[in-house]
Amino acid sequence: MKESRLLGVAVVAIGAIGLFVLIPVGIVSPSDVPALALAPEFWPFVIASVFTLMGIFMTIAPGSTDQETVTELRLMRTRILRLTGFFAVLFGFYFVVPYVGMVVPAIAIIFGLCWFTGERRWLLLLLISLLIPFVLTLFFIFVANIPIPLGIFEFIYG
Amino acid sequence: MFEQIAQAASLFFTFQNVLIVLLGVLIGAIVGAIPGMTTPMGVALALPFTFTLEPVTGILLLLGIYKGGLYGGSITAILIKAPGTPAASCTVLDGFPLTQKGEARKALDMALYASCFADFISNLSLILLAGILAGFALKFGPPEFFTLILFSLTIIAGVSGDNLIKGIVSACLGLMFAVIGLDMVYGTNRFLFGNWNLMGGLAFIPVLIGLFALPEIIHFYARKASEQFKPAAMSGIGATFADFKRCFKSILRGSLIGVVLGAIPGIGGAPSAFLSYSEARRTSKNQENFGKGELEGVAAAEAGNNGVAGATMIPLLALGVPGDVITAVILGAFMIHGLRPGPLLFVENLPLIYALFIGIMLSSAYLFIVGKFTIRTISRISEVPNTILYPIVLVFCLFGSFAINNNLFDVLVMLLMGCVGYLMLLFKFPAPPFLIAFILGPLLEDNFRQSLILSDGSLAILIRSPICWFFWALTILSVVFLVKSRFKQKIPLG
Repeated sequence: MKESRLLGVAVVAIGAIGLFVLIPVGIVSPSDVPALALAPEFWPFVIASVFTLMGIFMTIAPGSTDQETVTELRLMRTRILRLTGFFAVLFGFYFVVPYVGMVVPAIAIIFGLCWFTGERRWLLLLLISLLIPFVLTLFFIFVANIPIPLGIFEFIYG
Repeated sequence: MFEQIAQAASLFFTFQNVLIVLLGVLIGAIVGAIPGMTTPMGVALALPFTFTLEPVTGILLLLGIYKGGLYGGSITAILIKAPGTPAASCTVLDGFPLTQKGEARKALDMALYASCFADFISNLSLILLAGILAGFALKFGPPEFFTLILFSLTIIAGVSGDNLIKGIVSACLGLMFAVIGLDMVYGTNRFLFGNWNLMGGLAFIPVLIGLFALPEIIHFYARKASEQFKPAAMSGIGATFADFKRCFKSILRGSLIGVVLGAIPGIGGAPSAFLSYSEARRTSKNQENFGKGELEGVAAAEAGNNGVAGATMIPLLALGVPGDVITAVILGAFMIHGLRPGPLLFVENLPLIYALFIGIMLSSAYLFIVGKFTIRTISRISEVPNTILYPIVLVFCLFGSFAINNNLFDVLVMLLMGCVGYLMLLFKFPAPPFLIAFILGPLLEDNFRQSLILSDGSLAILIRSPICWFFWALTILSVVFLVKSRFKQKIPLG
């Protein structure tokens, strides 16, 4: 119950940020709009209002929080390090691609994640972590004509 | 007419197309059979690979995965009591007890026969009804489309699971993300915050992959789960023609239930499977065996489940309205190829529609072939541990997101959507309403504002014709029915 109510409060807060900060700041509206409903901010305003209203419902009449969610949230404290590490891997990929291309980080991701979850068959590890990124890269470059950033393998483009 | 059919035949009958449907069904069956993978996930991951294909080829690949996935879900439902799709959860009721009795092979065979038959009936209904509905929809203008899409948004209720309020919150998020970009009437900025990558709005595929594939992977690594199901051996003998004959009435009834429920946006396979199952139990001579390993139960559940496959395409092709989350993804695939499903597609691109029909019919036959000859292999593939599967899927997500526009920004969108999706997963906000609203939102707003421009700002245009009235009535009825049924079943709204 408590968790559901807090969730409702969070939804209301997000809705309020949308209504009072994001819409006024993020939407540029011309001055000569003939009807209110034609204004660029009308639709987002309606959506954000419904969103906030739903949050109010969730706060006033919270359903019972299901046990699985409660357990998951309690376990979150023990998982925070693992989650942070995983997000670092994900966003790290985004930041290193401009420098080293997509193939090398993809190899590292497959190898690293498999190893992290206990896979110790080295031959299999090497095989899949090399094969999958290379096959995907070759497919996108030569079949789909999509120039995948290659970094140190840039010579493939000739 | 015959000229267009001939054009469609020449459009479809290429080696590539004939093969791609088979490949799609095979991939779908494998994806459906792997616990932890879902059919929407499979379709989302395959989408980037269709960019360079011809529209017919690309869409048929996705349709093949859809149909294969529906059947594949039943394999794990029967063998390990882990339904690959929500709809296959009904198959568990009698499928798994049959496996425990050593009759897994018979259950799998019956699931296959019922699936193929129901799929065929559903495809026939698509071919017969979609054109008629599209012909009617040609009379629609922006106000009629607005009311239709508004009605279609009530499908969110059907995909919201147990919590309608959370479903609406999720849909609002989808609608909000859909307005990012340039305003379509005045061309002014909406939520760009100086980032010009957002001018065209958020690309559909990164949002889709981020929402459907990434959260499961994040969740897996957060838990560092290592449990892996071990499929039971496929014991026993297969189903005979006599078995099929005995179950035929339930299969036919289930197929028809699937067609009717599938054609209504938002209902989907699970209610259809359960309704078909309960009707079969109600009328069966072996009523007491249901739930303990009754072959007819498997047949009825699978017929109801697969009977929706073709029928969900009726509103998609005829009206441009997706019937469920997978057809919403397929709608996105049409858009990527520069096509807009709806009545005009039947006028401007009839050969393409007919070519899709040919491919869809072929997929029923392929489903039988794949099920009959590869089931043993597929059930082995389902043993691939998630520890190996998920890193590979993650790399597919990263490459697929980049490939849409050759833009690393789309990878960032996918990652951020993955975080949003993970939070939604954690707090039990259903993802399908988000996706459906994300797709339908711009159409709704576009038609709304076009109507107002036509009427010089008067809202009265939204009730200008009997068609508008019809859809308003359907929307109101749908909402009333929904609230009433939730109160009756004592399902909390929030």
